[in-house]
Amino acid sequence: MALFGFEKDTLLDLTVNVIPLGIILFFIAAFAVVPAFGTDPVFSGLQFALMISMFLLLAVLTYYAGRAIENAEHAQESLEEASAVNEPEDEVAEFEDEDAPGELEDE
Amino acid sequence: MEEQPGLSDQYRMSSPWPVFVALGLALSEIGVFIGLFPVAVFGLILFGGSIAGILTESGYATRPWPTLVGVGVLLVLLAALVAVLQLPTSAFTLANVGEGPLFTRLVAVVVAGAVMVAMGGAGSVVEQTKV
Amino acid sequence: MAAGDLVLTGLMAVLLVGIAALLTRIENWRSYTPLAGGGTATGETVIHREKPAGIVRWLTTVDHKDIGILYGVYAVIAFAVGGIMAMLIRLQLVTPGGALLGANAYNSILTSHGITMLFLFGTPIIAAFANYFIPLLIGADDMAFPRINAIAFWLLPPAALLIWAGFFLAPVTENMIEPAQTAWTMYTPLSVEQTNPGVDLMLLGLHLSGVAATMGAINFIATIFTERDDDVSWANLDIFSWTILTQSALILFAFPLLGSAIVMLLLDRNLATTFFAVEGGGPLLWQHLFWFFGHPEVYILVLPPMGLVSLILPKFAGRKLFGFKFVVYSTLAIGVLSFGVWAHHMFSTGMDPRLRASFMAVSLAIAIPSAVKTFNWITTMWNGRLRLTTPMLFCIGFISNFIIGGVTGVFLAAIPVDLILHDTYYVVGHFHYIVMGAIGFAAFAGIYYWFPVFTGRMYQRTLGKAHFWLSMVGTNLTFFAMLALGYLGMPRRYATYQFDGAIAPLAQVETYHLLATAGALILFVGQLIFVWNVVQSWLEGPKVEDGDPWNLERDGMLDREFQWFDRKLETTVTDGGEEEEQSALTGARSDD
Repeated sequence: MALFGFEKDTLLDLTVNVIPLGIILFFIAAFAVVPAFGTDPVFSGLQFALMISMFLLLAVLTYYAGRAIENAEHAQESLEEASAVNEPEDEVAEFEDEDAPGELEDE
Repeated sequence: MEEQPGLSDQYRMSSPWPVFVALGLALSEIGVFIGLFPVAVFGLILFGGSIAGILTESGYATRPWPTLVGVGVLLVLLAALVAVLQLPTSAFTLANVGEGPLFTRLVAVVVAGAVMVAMGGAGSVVEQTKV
Repeated sequence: MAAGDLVLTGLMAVLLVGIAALLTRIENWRSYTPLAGGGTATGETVIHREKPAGIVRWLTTVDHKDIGILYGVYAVIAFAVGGIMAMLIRLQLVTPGGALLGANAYNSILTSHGITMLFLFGTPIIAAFANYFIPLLIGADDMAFPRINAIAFWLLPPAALLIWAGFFLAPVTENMIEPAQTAWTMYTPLSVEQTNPGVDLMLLGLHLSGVAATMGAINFIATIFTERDDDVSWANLDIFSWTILTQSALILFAFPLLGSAIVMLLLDRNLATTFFAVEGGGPLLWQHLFWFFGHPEVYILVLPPMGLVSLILPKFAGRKLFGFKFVVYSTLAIGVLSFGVWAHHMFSTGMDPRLRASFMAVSLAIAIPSAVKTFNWITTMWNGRLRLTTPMLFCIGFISNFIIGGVTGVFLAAIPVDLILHDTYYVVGHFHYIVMGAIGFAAFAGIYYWFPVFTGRMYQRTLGKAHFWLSMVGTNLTFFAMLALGYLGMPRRYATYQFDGAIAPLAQVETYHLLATAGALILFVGQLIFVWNVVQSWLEGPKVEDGDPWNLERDGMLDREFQWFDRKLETTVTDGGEEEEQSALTGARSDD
């Protein structure tokens, strides 16, 4: 499951914004199927432009926010993995300050 | 974290300029929009002067005078642009100062700009002859 | 007129010379400093002190913590002014004929109450928390642009003076300059046609406060993007910083628009342009421009308080915030969608029904992210180890009030309901549940939660709880009565209500107005206790000795700001210099 290249956990987090997106989509469809007030090039155009632009903006921002957070998490994980293989950098560095200053801080 | 980067050597977290930038902007807005000629002129001078001061203090400029001249020229140009776009040429008379609401305001801006240019020019000349 | 000009010129010249003299004196700081840098005994004392003493320190500071305190003091003063105005409004409406004010005075106070609370209390109190704590929370040394930060603050006092100018000038100028009576929405054509120069002054004040907010927003965005400590990433950025980031983005798009619209209004008023005249852009243009700013403004005011609650609530529930990412994403969703809902304030203007429908659709969609947050807060408390400290009580009060305020808002977003309730007290009740019941409560929660950090002392717990309960009861009594008044058909903004029984049942309306006023009195007493508590505890409260006054270590929830506080307390023990700064801080505060 790699929708838009997201992991499952991130996708689950992103569902929170899928709901408002769904509501907007529902209204877009509803207004398209049942134009209760008739259609008019200017006003119907504005009507759909407003909803569609909001849909797109929200989708794009959600995508990029998800990307940024997932990437940051990956970076953190790989950092933790690396430090688990080697030695925990920060804590050791503090204790061994006198012996080898700055030696371990080469990340 | 307590080691803050120095802003001034002794008082590292102080600057006298922000208050005056704010005051200058407030006075210029009141002066220009309400149409109070002296307030507009002095407010704009204070505003431009404080900008020159704060830029010098924070190291974006080495001396305040060029900034002062720059802000002055910018104001004069701006006022001239509005005047040319909005007023008929017949309005540009000395007698009209204090008459047309727009013209008077623009004259105030031009005067402030001219004073700043003069101050900046004088400042740099005095400094150069002294050193 | 010429004499007046002469006097003004003289005044301005004296001012300018005075400022120049002052500046040359202050600039001396720099010139003798390098001499003091040596290792002499006098040099030592100079190095310890980063700021000049006394009032000059507060006028010249560019330290984010000092500016935060300045914002806070400013906001509390504005809150007091706006609160007294609110009390006058409520006392006026005790009797149908109006108890103490004339119609014009009532309109002035109504207008100023709204603008004061939104622009001079709401935005600054948020900036107070953000300035003080964002750099600490993200591990930055200071804001990205410390001087711009100071400029943004110092624009606010002139803004307040201009907004209130009419009240000071009316007695002096024999009512030639009166306070504005436009209501906070400043709808045209009323706001264009009122010849009172007080309106111009108020508009300029608003413009300045908008410039200040925009400068602050740019600063926060730059700070959160570029000044984060190495180990603070997007994955573990705290929730308050997320909400401030979103809020700043909203400010960046909304406030410049307000500024431009205000300039257009000023030009219409003073230079005979026709932006909002019938033969020009039309009066409705103002409403569109205003609400395109105005609706994001609602979220500008409510997102950071939501962040505060999301930050503080878990600390006293003993559990991490449930669905942290949900809260982050829904914050962003609110940020985007808030720009697509503005015309739901204008459903009754006779706009095209198709447009109206689409604004309703987006308005209903924006209810979801807010509801998500509410459920997250409730589930955070679920099965948690709750500690009902004062900040926690205010957080819970926030949730309770936010639910009422939010649900009433969803009804208003539906066109048929809105057409009936538009311009009634229902709307007033709805948004006061949000601005007082939610935003105000979150601000109190923040003040109590971080009181030890910014004062080094503890507040008085019993008084804090009294403040909460009086506020909670007062808020609900006042604003629930307003919801009921709205259902009865009581129109908003009326100085008197001696209307025909056919409009609304007068006896019931009077009863509910009495209830609302009683609630407001309770609220008022609560706020007196708050001010007393803060001032007295700041001056005389017991010093906090422990860097973790809330015992957060136990749950592993000691955030960076308290770690910083702990380090600061430790240096205080070893180094007397910090102690001195502490006393200078409390001493200068009373000057403000």
